[in-house]
Amino acid sequence: MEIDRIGVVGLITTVFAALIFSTLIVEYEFPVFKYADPDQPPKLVESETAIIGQEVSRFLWDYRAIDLIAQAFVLFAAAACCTALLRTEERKK
Amino acid sequence: MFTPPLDALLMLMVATPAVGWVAYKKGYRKVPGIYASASLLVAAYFLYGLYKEVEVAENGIVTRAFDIPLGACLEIDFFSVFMAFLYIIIGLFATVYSIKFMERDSGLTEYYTLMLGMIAGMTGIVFAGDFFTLFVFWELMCLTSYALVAFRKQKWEPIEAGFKYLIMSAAGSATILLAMSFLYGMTGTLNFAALADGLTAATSEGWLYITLALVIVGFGVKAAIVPFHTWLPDAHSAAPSPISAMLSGVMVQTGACALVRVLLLVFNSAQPAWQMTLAVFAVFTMFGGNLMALLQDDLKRLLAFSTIANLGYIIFGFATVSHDGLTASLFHITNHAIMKTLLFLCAGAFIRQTKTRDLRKLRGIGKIMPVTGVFFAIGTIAIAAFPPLNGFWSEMMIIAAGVRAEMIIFSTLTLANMALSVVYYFRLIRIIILEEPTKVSKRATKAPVSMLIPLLILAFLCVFIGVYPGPFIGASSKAAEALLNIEAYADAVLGGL
Repeated sequence: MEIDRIGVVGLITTVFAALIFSTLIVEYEFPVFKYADPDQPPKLVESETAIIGQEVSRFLWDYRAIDLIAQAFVLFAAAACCTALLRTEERKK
Repeated sequence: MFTPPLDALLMLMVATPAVGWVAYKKGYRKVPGIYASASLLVAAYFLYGLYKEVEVAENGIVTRAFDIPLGACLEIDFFSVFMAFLYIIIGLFATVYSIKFMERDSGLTEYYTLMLGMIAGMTGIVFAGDFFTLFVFWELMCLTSYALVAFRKQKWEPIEAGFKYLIMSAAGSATILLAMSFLYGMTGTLNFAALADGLTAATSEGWLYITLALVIVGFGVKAAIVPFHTWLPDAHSAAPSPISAMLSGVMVQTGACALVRVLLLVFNSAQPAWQMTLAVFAVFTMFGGNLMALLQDDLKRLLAFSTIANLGYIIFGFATVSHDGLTASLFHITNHAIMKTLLFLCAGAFIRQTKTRDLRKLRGIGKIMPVTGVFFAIGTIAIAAFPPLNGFWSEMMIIAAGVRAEMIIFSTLTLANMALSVVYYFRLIRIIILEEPTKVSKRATKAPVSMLIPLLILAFLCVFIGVYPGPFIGASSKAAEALLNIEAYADAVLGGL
């Protein structure tokens, strides 16, 4: 049987990456919302309010309408893609 | 809704099927193409209005969608306007060219709908002020480009290339989504300004570096960074030539630009890590592209590998993280878009008349199609960085920026790659222009005038920018300044709180 060398290298790399990733997950605790604390220095911009992270995340949950509108266009494009690829061929003579 | 140019592109895209349906009923097959070209002109007009707005705005940034401080779904600075102009102009050339080039194909309404969708997606990406907004427009761009690559579905090659592109690009998008979820988990936000602000303190956070790796891989797939580039030669060569021009001229650069914007804003605290990584990837990308281009006998495949090499130069300019480097890269993005669009459209004209992409069969085609041949020669000499054409200036600026950033080894390798690329560009000129025509070449007839008009303008731009680069370097410099001004970008949103 012929061995696909690139395939073997790819497989080893994938397993290696998965191992590193698993080790990192086990060894290092994920910093859940650690950097959402607005009082934590240093800051890029001076702000008058102390709740930037929460305000922005609240905005993200409450006002996703704009992204949903964009998503509607993505769905429209998906429909156009299906129509384009499933069209019947009528090449001009 | 979003901004006038983006609204115009999206609404006119939605109206395209209706226009196409009516036009087909009346027997006017060219109407969808003319409509798409007019739509892009309308978008360009609105974009000019937005540019004027950006010029007078405080810090040169306009925020849209909802009121400040929280309405930063779209954050438009000079960089956004600069890139959007490029997308619309290159899109216009490709659309005008397509009217004649695609006349024998079916599904033209869908073709132009998808073309407008792809340009809207790219524009949305550079306007986005929020990672999620960027991702939605990213999906719009990717989705439309998959179908456009596989558009000539009656042949096996576009289907195979489209499928490969779909799989690789979807994997890249999934990687970006994973990175976004990590960023949200760390900061509780996906807003670029808030991310930039929140992660300033995260210099020693291991998870930040994991997220950084995911971002580089995710965007790297679209930016065709070696080793994530394998979809590109297949997709570019199998797609219809105007789509190859769009993919090669602007779409892959969108990936690179999105990457550098995210890196500069979100991963500013990890700059030393990604700067060197990007420089190393840039060198691999240059070598990969140039060495593979030397081996090609397929005209479009050779041009596709040349795109990979040029992306290496662009990414190297970005990796200097200096005003000079970013200016040079953005100037090269402009030049490369013009040169590569010209070359792919010329290649399209050759292929349309001979039905082959094989360079061995295309020998001497420039003698049979002299006007297209001259335009092709101008594009090739320009991309080979010969003075006084446009490619020379931007490539030299990238080298100079690298030297100024004290990245001497990388600059030397970039220079060596530029010299290497001259070999296959001159081989192209020899085969296409100087050699005696083959039987296949002799059968070709001259390209239609409507296809030559975009070529004429693009060839003129190669010469004009070459002899008068000042305004274009100035615009690139302003865009680079906007890209580097992270404080102003964050302040436009958070400063209002």
